[in-house]
Formats: sequence, structure tokens, C-alpha cells
Amino acid sequence: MGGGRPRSARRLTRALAWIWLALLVALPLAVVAMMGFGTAQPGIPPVRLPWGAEGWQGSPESWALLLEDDYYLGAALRSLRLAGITALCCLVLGFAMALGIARMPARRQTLWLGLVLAPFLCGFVLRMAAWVGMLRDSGWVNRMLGHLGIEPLQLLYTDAALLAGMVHSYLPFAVLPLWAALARRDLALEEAASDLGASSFTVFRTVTLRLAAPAALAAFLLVFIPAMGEVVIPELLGAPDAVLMGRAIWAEFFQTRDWPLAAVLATALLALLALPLAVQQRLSVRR
Amino acid sequence: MSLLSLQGVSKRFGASTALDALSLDVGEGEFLALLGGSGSGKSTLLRVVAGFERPDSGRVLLRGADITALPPQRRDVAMMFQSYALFPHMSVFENIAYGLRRMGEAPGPRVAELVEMLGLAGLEGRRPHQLSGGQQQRVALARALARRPTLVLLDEPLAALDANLRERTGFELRAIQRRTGSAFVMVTHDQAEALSLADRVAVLDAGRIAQVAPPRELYERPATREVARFLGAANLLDGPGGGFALRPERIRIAPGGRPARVEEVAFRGADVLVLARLEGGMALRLLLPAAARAPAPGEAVELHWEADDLVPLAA
Repeated sequence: MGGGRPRSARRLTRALAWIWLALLVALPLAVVAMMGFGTAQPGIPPVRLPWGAEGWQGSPESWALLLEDDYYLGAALRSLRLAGITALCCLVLGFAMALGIARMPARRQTLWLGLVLAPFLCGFVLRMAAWVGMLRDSGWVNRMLGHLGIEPLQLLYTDAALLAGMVHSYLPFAVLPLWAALARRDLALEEAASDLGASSFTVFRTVTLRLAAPAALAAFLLVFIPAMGEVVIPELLGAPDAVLMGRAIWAEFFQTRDWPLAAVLATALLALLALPLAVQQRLSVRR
Repeated sequence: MSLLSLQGVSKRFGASTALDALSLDVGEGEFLALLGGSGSGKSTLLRVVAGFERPDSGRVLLRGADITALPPQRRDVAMMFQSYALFPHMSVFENIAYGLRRMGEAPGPRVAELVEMLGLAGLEGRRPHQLSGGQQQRVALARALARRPTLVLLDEPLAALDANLRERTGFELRAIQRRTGSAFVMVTHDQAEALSLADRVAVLDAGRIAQVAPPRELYERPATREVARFLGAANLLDGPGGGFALRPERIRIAPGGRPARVEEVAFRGADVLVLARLEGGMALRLLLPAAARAPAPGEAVELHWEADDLVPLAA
């Protein structure tokens, strides 16, 4: 990579990347991590940092609260479940779409990939608002049901509505890596398998699916990770009493203004997400 | 009854014709080479027999049964791919066992047999990317042979090997074919490979069979201009009543022949290649034994050949 470039230019690009990471990733993370050991106080900012003029004054009180109060554990589990189901749905749907597109002639593939990405042309909030319009009590679906003589159903603010919105907005993130892997797969391998007596399903199971596994894991994580911290979609479509991680962090930060607790929640979420990423790294290095 | 019989098989891809009403028979236990340049249709022919392509018209018979519409997995035919197409996520053992597992057969004994036959002992646990090119080639062959197919198709089996491995592997391929008793149909663009390995060679040209014959007959009696040209740079002469092929090694330098002037001389180890121009403008290639006195460029010589050496060609 960059074989012909002079050494100084390589060093410069590397330095820029490190500066970027240090200033915009590492430093804010350090601030958040430190804030988790601070104490909430009225004022601006509403937090006393643990490292003041008198030296270390931090307290692990917010961490203790996180572990003691089931409320946050419940939010974490709900987020885990929602993100897991969303990622799984996106993986299954996305695999079928990606395989279908990868089997088309090259020129049609571009068109269909464009269609997969088309929702991004429309604003995110607008797309979610469309679900509200469709699912609310006097919405499009219930009016249709009304014409058939069926009583209006509670569709909006349910887990199903939430899942529909999540899958709708995250699906493209799953389709793209799967398509990239499936489009450049070696067709001779599938032919060889069927030549050796494998039925179409066995070819799919033992060759296609197996070789796409790394891409499937990547697709799963690309959906799972942002879905864990999702705030807006649960707010617009989900049940209001089922608090999720994103919502909990948001509420501590902006409503109760307990910044140390919000920081602890954010740090815990990050740690939770680092785990699957580390596993994926391990797997991809081994290959 | 022949083992494989292709009857008037045609295959078109868009505007181009890959196979043009082609008919061909392969006998039990025969080693047949399909020889042709790129675009001659030889790979398409192999893919039609394997079942990866459906012909537009014509029939494919295996031991008299029509298999034209059968999918690949239901044909008693195994293919060895040019790229080998080994499953990268499986060990050598699992690659060879794949076909046996599909039959519900316990793969152990048969895999052991093939590992022994192909000299793969000790490599069973390796992944394909941990093998050399020659080892990969053997695994691909073992995998194709695992189910004891009556017909094995080989797509350029030696093309990916380097030159000094190719000759030895060719001999081994021949020995394995005799030992298994399966019929082998091998696609190649290398005339020396086809002539040295096969019982019969079919020369393909533009989707048709130009000639099928045993190697020696094909070499000495090419039927058409295309065959003569493909089988190693014969001189093509025009004479009364059509064209003739004249092999370079049949021409001698001797007094009393046709006057010519030597243009180029190339020493090639076993022989000397001479390019000489006849009076009247026609250039001929000559192969002289290395022991003979080689002429110098620019020298005037006389070229001699027997009337028998002129092989008449069909238009």
C-alpha cells in the first residue's frame, strides 16, 4: 500500500490519522470516562470533576448505582434484545437481498444497489414519521381495517412497530457488506459442489453460506452496534415505558442532569460493544 | 455402445456460437483430449457434459441414457476445474470426502485410498492455501475421482503447473487414468500435452470437430488446414487440387532440390529451426537434427522432400 510514496508523505498521513483519533476519539472518551467518577452538583456544568485543585476527589458512586439498580440492567437487556433481533432480521433479509442482487447481471446490480440505498435520499425522521402516519390509531392501516369492519388496533408504540422501524432504517447497512462478499464469490466452488452430488440447498449450506460467514458477522455487527444505542426510533415508534440504553443515557444527561451517571452508562455501553468487536477481530486475524 | 455420446449439440451465447451441431463419441476407459484455441468451444463442451450448461439443441447420452436435462449432481460425471475450485474452508480430507458424504458413504477408507494413490499422505489436515500448486492439483484430482465416476472431465489440468512439473504430472495423470479405468476427457490448448497423453485427440475449431484421430495419425495426416496449423506450425502449401501440409522435419537440405535462401537459423538444443525462402517468394520452416551441419543465414541451399510428405488438406 502506497508503495511508491515517499516516506515523509506516508508519515504525514499516518500522523494525521493519529491526531484525528487522539483529538476526536481518545480525548472525548477520556473525558467521559473521568466524568463517570465525578459528582453531580447544581450549576453549569452540573458536575464536579474528580480531578480538581485538591487532587483526586472521585467517587465510584455512579458505578455502584449502575450495578445496584435493576432499572439500568433492564434497559441494557432490552437494548441487547432489540439490537440482537434487529440485527438478525437485517441479516436474514439482507442475505436474501444481497444474494439475489449478486446473481443478477452486472449492470442490473448497480441499479438494484441504488434502490437499496434510495431510502437515504429521504430524511431519516421523515421515514420514521411515515411509519407513524401508517400505524397510528387513525392511520392508513387502521382506516383500511375499518373499511373491512375491523376495530382499530394498537399498532404504534408497540415492539412490532419499533422493530419495523429499526429494520427499515438499518437494513442497507447489512445488505452492502453481504453483497460485496457474495458478488465476488468464486462460482466454480458452487459448481464443484453440485458436480460432487450436492443438491442446491446443500451447496448453499456447505459452500455459499459458509464462505459468506465473515461478511455475515460484519453485517450483523454493523447493525447491532448502532442499534444498541439507538434513541430516536424507540422514541418515535416504541412503547414509552420500555426504556432502552440510548433513552436512559439521554434522560440522565438532559432530564435529570446527572452527568456522572450518564457518563457511566455510556462507558458501560461502549464496553458492552467492544466485546463482539474484539471477537470479530480475533476471528478475522485467524483467517 | 460408447460411454458418452454427443449428438448434434449446439450452444449459443448471444450472437456467438460456442458449439455448432457438434457430435462426438467417447469410449469406455478412453483418454480423449479436446484440443483447440480460445473460443473454439472446448470449455463449453466440457460444461455441457458436466451439466453446467444446457445445450440449445442436441442430446447428451451417457451409456445410452439421455442426460441432457439432468442437473450436475445427478450425473455420474466428475469435473476437475482449471482453478481446481478446492473448498478453501475445508481440509484436504474434507475436500476429498465431500462427494462421498453427499452419497451418505463413510468417507474414511476411500479417502485413505486416494491419499495413498496421489501421494498426499500427511497433508490430510491442511487447508488448500497451505499446499503447493502441484499438491492442490492432486487434491482436485482425488476429489473428482472419489465417487468412482465413469467419466472424468479435466479442464486444462496441467495449465497452472510450472513447466518441469507439467511433464511428470502428465505421466502420472495417464497412469491414474489406466489404474481407475474411468474415461478421461481433457480440455487443453497445448498440442504437445494432447498428443502425449490422449488415446485420441479431437481438434475443435469454431464450435465444430475438425478431426478426431489417434495422436500419430492426427500429426501425420491432418485433415484440414486448421488442424495442420494447430498441430505445430506445419508448412501450408498451395498446389494443384488444393492445399497441402508439409511438416518441417520432413524437409532436408540436399542437392537436386528446390533452390532457396536461408533467412534465419535458430539452434534449439535437440534440433535446429531454419527459415528459408523458396525462389518465387514462399517461406518454409525446416527442422534439422542438431547433429547436421546448420546452414548460415544468407546461404543458398536446395530443399528436398518426398511426394508422400505432402499431406492433402480438405478446404
